[in-house]
Amino acid sequence: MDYIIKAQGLTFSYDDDGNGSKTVENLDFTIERGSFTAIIGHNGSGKSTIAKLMCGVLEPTSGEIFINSKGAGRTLRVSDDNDIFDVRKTVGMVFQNPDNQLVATVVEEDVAFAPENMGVPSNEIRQKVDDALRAVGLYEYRLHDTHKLSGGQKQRVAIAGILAMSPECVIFDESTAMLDPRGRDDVMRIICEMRNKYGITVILITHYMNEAALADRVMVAEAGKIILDGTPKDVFLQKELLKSCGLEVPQATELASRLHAAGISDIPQNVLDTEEAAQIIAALIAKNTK
Amino acid sequence: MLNDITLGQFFPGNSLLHKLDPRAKIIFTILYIVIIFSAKNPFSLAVAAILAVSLTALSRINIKTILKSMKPILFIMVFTAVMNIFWTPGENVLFSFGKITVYYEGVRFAVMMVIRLVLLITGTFVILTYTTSPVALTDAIERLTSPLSKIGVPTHEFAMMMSIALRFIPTLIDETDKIICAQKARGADFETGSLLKRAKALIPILIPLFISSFRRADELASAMECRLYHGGNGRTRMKVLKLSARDYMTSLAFAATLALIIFLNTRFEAIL
Amino acid sequence: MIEFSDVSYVYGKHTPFERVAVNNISFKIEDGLVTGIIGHTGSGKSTVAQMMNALIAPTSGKVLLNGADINSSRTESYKTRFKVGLVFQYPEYQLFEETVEKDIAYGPSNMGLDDNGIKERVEMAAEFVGLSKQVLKSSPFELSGGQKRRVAIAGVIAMQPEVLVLDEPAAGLDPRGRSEILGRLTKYRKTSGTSLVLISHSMEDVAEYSDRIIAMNDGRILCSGTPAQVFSHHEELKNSGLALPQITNIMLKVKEKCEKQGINTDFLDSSVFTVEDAYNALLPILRTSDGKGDSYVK
Repeated sequence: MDYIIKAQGLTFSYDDDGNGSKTVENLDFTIERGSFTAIIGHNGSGKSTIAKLMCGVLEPTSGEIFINSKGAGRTLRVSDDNDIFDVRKTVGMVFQNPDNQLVATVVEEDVAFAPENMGVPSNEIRQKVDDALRAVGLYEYRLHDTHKLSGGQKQRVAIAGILAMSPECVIFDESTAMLDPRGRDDVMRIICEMRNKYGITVILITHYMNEAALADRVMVAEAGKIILDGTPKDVFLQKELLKSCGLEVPQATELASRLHAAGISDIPQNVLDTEEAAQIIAALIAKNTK
Repeated sequence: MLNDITLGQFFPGNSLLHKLDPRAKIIFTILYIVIIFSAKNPFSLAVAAILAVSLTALSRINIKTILKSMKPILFIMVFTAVMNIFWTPGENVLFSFGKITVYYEGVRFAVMMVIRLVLLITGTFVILTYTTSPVALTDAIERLTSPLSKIGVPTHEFAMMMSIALRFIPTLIDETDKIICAQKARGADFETGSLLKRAKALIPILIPLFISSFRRADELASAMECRLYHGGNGRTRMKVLKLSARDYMTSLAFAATLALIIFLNTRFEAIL
Repeated sequence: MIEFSDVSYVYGKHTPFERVAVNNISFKIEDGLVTGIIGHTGSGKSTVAQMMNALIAPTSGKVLLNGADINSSRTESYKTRFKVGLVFQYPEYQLFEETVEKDIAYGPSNMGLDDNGIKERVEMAAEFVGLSKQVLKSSPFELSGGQKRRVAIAGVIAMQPEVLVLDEPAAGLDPRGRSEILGRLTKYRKTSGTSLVLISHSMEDVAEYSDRIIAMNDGRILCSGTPAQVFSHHEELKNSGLALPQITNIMLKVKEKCEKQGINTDFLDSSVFTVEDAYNALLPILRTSDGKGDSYVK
């Protein structure tokens, strides 16, 4: 498997002596290049810490994360100070609050921030900025004031700002949590497009189960550990376990699994979305009427 | 309510003034101030006014916006006017009541003073703040002062701090607005009571505001690191500043105006 | 009872930035019920919230509380703040006191109550939102996000308002935090008899917890009534960019698919909007395939 991120014995504690409670404890996992992984878990489960470790915002207390960077042409270590710049170039991160990650007052100047820091020649920056803004559908807004945009639009500017540094992997740390349904839909559409169209590896930290259902792999974090890891269909089968972690399953899954439990065995328990649920139910009704 | 503040706001656009090199614009602003203060008689002031009006027209900034930006300094204008009307001695008495005598010279002086103030505000805003994005402005300051970095002055850091401050002013104004509303909903009263009571009433606003600013600063720092910020070394810019024909033409216009004003000053009696 | 009568609100009137936020709306918030107000960002729902407790006065029309105009005088407006409690979005960012207890006491102390009265109310409010005695003595800044949110809500509950208005009380919380807060609020409503107004863009939450729903779009009321009545207007809701609850979506799709195959679907109630309702509606129809029970489909 061509991996992009590999964690080995990953441990992190906010206490400096390392004896205190561990936010992340002895994790091993690998993220495949080009995949779409969702990490879910309740607030305080350690999911955001894992995200911050992967892009080098936090440094592991012990253990290591290896980043297989095509751009740098070698394997990078997150805890190595000489590698950190390349790590951040390879793995970008979009944060939760759109207001706190925009640096500039004008949209295009904000998007240019990362390439400027990379020392990209001026004429190439222009190209990168325009491409990134087109990718998030905000090219027409390039001269707008960032402050006057809606939450969803601000978050799309933030995504463009990361895309402009041509990362191989982008981590979204609850980037949809503060948005309204419309903004959330827009951002989710762009996230899926990034993966499908540009082949960027996507890691989505969220507690919206419908968003996790779009991923091809779901990891469930609880008390600093990964307690479930699999396809959304497999993970959402574990309804009770998820509930005990303060999570839930999508409503479509909930309905299907309750009908299944009531003896309607033709309905699988792990239906993921409304379309699938409707299709199965309608087919069954059609069968009954005949 | 706090959103009404337009002072120091940038209006994106595509006018000649927007396109001028921001470095040149800083120099023009200084030149403009010199011009305004050199105009000492009605004729030279009129020339300065023509310059200000043409700059405003060229900037395509709505005249209402400019008038609105005068609001905060209205008090200063009225104050200067009143002071000058009553305290300027002269020969031609306009009218007097009791001990107070108003002279024609005083009124003339006050009118010119107010015109000068209005021109000063309009011009500097139109040339600089309204038509120059804060990023471009700080960029220009950084470059104009870059010789100082050779003797150890952190010019890049200052410029970056300034542009971030500018970026966050509207966000924090919104936030303050929200906190005020929220505390009012809990019965906070900022309008009645003694000065001490009113000052105390500000605590529930200031503390959340400070805490939120620190939180924002913290997150912003992480976000900037993620976007590879590592100081000014090796940093390039998307917009390369290059002086163009526009800038030379404009500087010619400014120089001509200044020359004309100096000439007019020698021909007419100075009033200001 | 809160009544809006021909209320409009215009931001920045007589300036170039003039914008109509609320356009001539009339509605009633009935006593003892949970009223949900839904609408996307910019629909005017937050402006409506701020008019309910006289934080802003309508530019035209009247807001009445129990028949009296809340904007008739400054004192009247000020009194209304305590009668209609308003909890803003992300209220945890307004906490400022050294201890949780003192922060919750801020509202009651502004009402001019004596120390005993304040203490009583703080304890009552803390209990409703589920904060322990120990938490009361700690600093609000040491708490988790969900706990902070509950402290902020307690700060408004402590004023014992007749109507409690909450703008997105569950925004940004994880599923457990959401159901905890919303569950506690409905319990509080039942015990205290306080009317609740829930402003939200989460259709699922509003559908589950509200007795009445007002759907807003572009500063106007799109439709209002019981959840069943409102969600039966699915076309209008969709057209104005409001998502339907997931369950309603499933039911509509099932109906559509069945009709395509020429199956009579009168037995399917498309105004179903919770998992529970959908389960109850679908189970008898689906059961027949296993030969258990009679077929509902003739």
